[in-house]
Amino acid sequence: MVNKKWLVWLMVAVLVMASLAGCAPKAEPAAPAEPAPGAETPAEEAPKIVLILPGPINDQGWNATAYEGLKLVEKDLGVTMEYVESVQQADFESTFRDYGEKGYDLVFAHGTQFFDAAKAIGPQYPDTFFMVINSEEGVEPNVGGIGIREWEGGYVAGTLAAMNTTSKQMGAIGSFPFPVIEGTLDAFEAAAMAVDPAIKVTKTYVNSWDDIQKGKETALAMIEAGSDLVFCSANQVGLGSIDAAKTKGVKAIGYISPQNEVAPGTVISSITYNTPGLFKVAVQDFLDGKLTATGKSLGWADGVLDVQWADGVTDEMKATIEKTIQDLKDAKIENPYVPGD
Amino acid sequence: MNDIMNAAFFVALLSAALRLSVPILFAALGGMFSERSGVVNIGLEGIMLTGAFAGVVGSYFTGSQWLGALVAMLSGIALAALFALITVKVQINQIVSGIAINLLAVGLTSFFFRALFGITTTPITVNAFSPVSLPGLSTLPFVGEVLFSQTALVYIAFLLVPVSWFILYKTSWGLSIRTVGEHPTAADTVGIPVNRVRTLCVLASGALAGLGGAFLSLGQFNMFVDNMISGRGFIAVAAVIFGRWNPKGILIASLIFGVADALQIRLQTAGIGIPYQFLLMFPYLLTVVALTGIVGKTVAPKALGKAYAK
Repeated sequence: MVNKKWLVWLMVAVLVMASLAGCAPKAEPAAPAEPAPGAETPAEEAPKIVLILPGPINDQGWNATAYEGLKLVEKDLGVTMEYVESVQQADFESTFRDYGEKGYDLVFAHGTQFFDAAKAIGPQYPDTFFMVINSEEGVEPNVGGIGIREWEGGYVAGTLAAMNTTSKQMGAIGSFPFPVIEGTLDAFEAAAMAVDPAIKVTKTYVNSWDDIQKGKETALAMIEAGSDLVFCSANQVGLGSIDAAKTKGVKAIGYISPQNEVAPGTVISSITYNTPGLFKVAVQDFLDGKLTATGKSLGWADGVLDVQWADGVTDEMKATIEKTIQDLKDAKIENPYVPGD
Repeated sequence: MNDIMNAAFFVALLSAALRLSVPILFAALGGMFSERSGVVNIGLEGIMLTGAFAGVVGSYFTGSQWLGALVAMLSGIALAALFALITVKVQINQIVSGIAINLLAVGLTSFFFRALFGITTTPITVNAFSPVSLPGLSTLPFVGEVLFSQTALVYIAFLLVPVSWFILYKTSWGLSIRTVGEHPTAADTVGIPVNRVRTLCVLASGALAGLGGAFLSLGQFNMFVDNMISGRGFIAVAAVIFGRWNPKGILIASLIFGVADALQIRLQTAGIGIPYQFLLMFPYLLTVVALTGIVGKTVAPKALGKAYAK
């Protein structure tokens, strides 16, 4: 009991340090930018937009792409956005309520996990529009979703992969068996089999977005069982699978971020998500007053998916990929995913 | 499916199990010293994360993975010093303090990563450990490849098991540590500085857990990723109990966790009919079994979790 005062001060110090270090949510207005020429944002009624993130902006993945989106909107549309990092599940509703109360015009929530909270809080603040990234549904009048048709990315990855396997056996790793991830892996498989029906794809889930060692070990197990190419849709876990492919001298396909330079020679090319583009589309719609309370999904046709070519891809392969992309743009290929399958 | 149960399969399985058990082994040996002296260190997870991060920073700025590992140990010691200050000197509840350390580590690593490297979407890579084949031994059939072509940190981890056993049971330091954990008043009576011994043991746990973290970031990879420890520190806490607070038991416990994890990955990729959720649960199920004491009666150090004030 001698040290009771000590105790109090220490706990205070630890808490302060923890929150300073970015553990607790905090809002930071982004540096004000010069309004871009031609942008219709008169100073007196600049829109109040905030971006709510489930993790830190330096996660080298999902949240970092949202931060890039914020920068893109600032640069191309001259609209500044605020952002809040590392908002935990338990705080979703109170955070929405907070910004609704403050009269924000547009609230971005980065991930489908925010949808239920948006659905619950949205109706209470009709003047605020809640936009949930990757949500496939909306709620009238003011909760919308915007996302990437990830299966289209998986499909192109599968086509490219099928042209690069000699053992006719490939591994596909997903984070969690959410419909969107299952759909990506199924599309990968369907595309590969469309190229060569003899190809076998092993699909596995690691139940994590960041357990990089599990990603590596899973890919190693697949390679040891005969796969000569791995594909992974699970953020940071993908870095682990690429590392495994490099160790074993087989191939990998980069996914979500441009990953060619992570392991040159191993990564045969990357299929990338242009997540920042989603923010630009949404903010543009907002400025034009065209936001709708529905789930909007974008694909190759909207420029939110892209290919980062690496050396070693033949012109023939490129031509096949370009054709596949064109078919997806023209909606000639159907989503092979069957829910609950 | 038909070819999964052959020799090559077992070699690969053992090799993976070894890699998966090393970070747990490092941290659990550290946790053992701390707990043997009477301090529960739940903060292993956070200390490992800090070690993983500091190892990459050290290697980035010095260009040497060995200095990186050293920096990882020092950072582990620094965080453990804070933990010792709170639990041994100020005598706050050890569990609560451990949780605080874990939360602090998540924030600190993230903050300093941003301060040093900015916001990137591609990982910063550094020099890392590569496998060393021990001459002669690595060419042995089957076991050679598994046991003797690993990174230096793997050999260090397994070497630490007999070393820890020797320190704990064959030296007067070890006797002091065990006495302090069993009966601090008696230890004090015969002149053992109880709180100094405890502080040193906590610092040792910090150094080892830091090295365990560096094994992930520098021994398995060459980069730091947010939250890359993913619960291995908590498994280590369970391994200490599962291993009944002695180095040999902890080695076996770590290997069991490693084999369980390696096996579930392989069964899942082999596409056998068991639902994958059940397989993923496997290592954690073992943890629960360990903690409930089904595997024999576990006797904790008597003064575990109790602060000592004269």
